Amino acid sequence: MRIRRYETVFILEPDIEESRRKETLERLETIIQKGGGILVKRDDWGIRKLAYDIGRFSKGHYFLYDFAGPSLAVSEVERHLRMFEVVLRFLTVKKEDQVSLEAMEKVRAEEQEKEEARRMALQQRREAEAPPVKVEEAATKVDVVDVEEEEEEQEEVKEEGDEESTDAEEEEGEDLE
Amino acid sequence: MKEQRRKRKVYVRKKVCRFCADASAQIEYKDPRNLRYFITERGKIIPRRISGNCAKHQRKITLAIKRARHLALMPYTNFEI
Repeated sequence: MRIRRYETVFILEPDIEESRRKETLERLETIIQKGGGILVKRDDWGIRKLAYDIGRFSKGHYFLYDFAGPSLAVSEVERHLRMFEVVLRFLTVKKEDQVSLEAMEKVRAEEQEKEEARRMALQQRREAEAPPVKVEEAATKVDVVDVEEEEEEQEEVKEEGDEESTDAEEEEGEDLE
Repeated sequence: MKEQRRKRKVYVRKKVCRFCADASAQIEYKDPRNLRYFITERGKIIPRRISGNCAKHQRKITLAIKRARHLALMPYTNFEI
């Protein structure tokens, strides 16, 4: 069977409960799998303002599913999207005409790694901004990550020390040089 | 006749398709900010003779705009001007 790569964007109602949204997304994922496809990437665009009102809604929660599978998988996904009441709109676009599931499996792994890295970076940035107590906790977690970032952590610890002393600003200036 | 033709030539400026000129520029229905350049204030698609796109890229833009409209990323019409 010919495997193609597709991309489906759909809009959910913005004000539904978290549990209902999760359930809808999980059902869609199982449908893709049952149809003999694999989900390469899942993207949440968040709640956006619609260019025009759809029904009684002026905002929508956008999702993008990047998946590969046979045409059967697409028709199943679209059939279910039509059935879900919380779906305002959907659009499926063909991205690649012929792919292999193995190759897509690889792409998925890469995407997941990227996603993981992004999340880690975000978390670290957040921890860096957070009060100093947390920085020490983070230092143990960091092991896996780049050396550079570890250095950053250390510098921050230094700065903390500086703040304790009276001439904090001066010493920080020296660090920069 | 001759004079008329010459006069007109003065005003004609050669337009270059911006997507042919810049190969890195992509046409994506998911990116309405870039597509906004090719619609009027009312939301109509600007014809090729005005936007200066080549046929190939105008087709792609038209398709992208229509997809974006379906997903409510771009307006079909816009009354508030």
